[in-house]
Amino acid sequence: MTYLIVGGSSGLGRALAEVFACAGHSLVLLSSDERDSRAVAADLALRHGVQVRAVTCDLAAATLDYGAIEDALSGLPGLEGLLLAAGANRSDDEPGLSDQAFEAITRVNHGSICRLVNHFLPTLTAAGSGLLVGFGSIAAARGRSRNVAYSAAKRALESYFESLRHALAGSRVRVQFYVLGYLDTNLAFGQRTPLPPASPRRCAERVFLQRERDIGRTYYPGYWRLVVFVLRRVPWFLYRRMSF
Amino acid sequence: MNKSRGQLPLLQTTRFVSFDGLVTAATRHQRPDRYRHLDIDLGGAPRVARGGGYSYAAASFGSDVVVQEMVSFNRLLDYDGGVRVRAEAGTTLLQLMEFGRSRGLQVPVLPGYPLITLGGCIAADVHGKNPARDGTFCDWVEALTLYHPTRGFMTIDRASEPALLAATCGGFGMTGLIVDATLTMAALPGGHVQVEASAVTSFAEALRRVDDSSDHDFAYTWHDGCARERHFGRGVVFRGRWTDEPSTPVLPFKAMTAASRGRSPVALWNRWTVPAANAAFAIGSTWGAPKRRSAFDAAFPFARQTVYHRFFGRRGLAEVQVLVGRAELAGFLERLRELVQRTNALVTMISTKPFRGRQVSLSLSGSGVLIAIDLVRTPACHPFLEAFDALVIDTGAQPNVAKDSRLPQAVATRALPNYRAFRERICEFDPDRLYQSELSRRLAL
Repeated sequence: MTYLIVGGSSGLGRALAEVFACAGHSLVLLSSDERDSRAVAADLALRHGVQVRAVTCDLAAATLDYGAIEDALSGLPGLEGLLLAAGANRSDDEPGLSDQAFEAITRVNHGSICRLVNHFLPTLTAAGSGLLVGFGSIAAARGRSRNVAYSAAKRALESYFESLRHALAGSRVRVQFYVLGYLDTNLAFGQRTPLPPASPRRCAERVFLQRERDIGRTYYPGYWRLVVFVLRRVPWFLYRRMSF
Repeated sequence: MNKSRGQLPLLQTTRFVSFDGLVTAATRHQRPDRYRHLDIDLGGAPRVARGGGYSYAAASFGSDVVVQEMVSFNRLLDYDGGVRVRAEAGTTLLQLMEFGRSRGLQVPVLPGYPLITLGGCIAADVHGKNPARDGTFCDWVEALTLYHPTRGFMTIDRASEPALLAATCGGFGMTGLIVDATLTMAALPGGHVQVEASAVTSFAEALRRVDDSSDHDFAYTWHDGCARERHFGRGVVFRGRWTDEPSTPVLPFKAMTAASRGRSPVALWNRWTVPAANAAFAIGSTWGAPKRRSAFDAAFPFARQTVYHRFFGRRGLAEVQVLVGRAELAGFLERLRELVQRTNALVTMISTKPFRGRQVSLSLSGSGVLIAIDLVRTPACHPFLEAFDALVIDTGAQPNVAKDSRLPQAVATRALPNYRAFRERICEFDPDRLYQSELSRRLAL
């Protein structure tokens, strides 16, 4: 079967590509830089003997080139799932961000992801089964003065996936949403994180192992469920004094 | 931490340590995982590439030098179906070995640890178990992609850019960032190696036995560093031969890094433990029939046996490795015996193997016998190394820049045959000297 991995050339997306290719699945990798996605595709094809195709796609753009993705999928085994690991943030993501930067963050983390799901959903439902995996962030647990647009987009994405799961409850298309804590990728590199970053490879292995299950929303690493539970209950007079 | 507005903080401050534990520096650290991170504008900041960080010398970091850690650039890019593989610089020897195993290929030159990267092997022009037969790593490099901010990405090979390629092979990253390389693999003769060990009482006997090992795939010697006077040179000769048994996958092992090597706050090698361990090692090695080892265990004996390096503790070890001409060998070993005796330095072991190298940068060049000496950092270590430097110059020996983290510039200038030419070449190629490290500064490159 074939999986479409969005953001498949680095970080969690690359780890997912490794794990799914290792299991013998064909892949289509979407990333913004052809040099990266072609390198990952060549590597996976050489090491695991699977078919991997790379598509350059800028998720921050207003329109998506579905034709290029469809072309890449043609000739491969049937599409089994979408692993939507793309994400981007900026160090200046604070209230007052420029329109251009705000649009880019919102599209990469929410809008383009939803549009890709919308486009391929008929294919999955027509096939009778499939997998849709979205990735949120613990940054969206509660609004704060940093990662403003990013957190809002991730929270919107979480809501979208909840709706998606509700809409597909009677079908055999599984909808999963992982709320991620810090991962040891370049998104967290150079940041002081209150808890240690987790391995993207282990996260990818978890996604692979749970691909057949109806897990809905889950946290990775699991201890973030407790952290988020507590954080959401911190009274405002205390929360407003917190800096993280 | 460096945060520029609108850009991710892709730089952080990290403390690096050389594998031998002697040199440390806290400096800015970039961990690129996309091609656009390689050509990100770092201004005029000096920078240097880093692979696995297994160099004994501080070749991959330095104060106020941006360290570009290439471990995410570890992808295989192309394979011609024969013997040529193109891989990114952060690809480890283990990855190349695993890729080659299923295709009946092997990396022809394997230095001592599986997580050393392709870029590191080229930058230090490392050698393997049989350099006299196989040459050094760069003999097997056909082409590479080099990045320099003023010149962009360049594909270079022996035909198009012979001088630049020569300066990059064994050039310790001074010509730019090695992005990928095309390597010629060799046929894998078998899946396992039969290693026989025999006791010897002197260097002369050991080297005779090594020279008589043309029917073996490799031969090297180990000598008890605690042996003195007439026992000096006592040791074991190891000779290996491939067997035609099928190869087996590599079993997991726990990675040792420069930081984890030096985790123990105290050195556990001392004047009691070293002789006891050496005696046990000599007896254990020569006991019983020849031992059958997997290709991985034969190539990387320290991958699963990390105790030797970790026992040196945080203070670290001192290693020197020199190439000595055959004509000077007897005199060199006699003066080495006197030196060990006089300084009473705590030498853990001495090893030798025949060598041949032909690069024209900072790496070892010429033929002779390679002699490596490991020492515990005791007060006697410093006088020993000072006198050893004099011995190197007197006998025309060549020091291995990658192995000696304190090698003084004065010694390098006089002892490395290609030092001046290499320096001129990199100054011509990169007049601003953008690529720097503690090693390059110490050697005034």
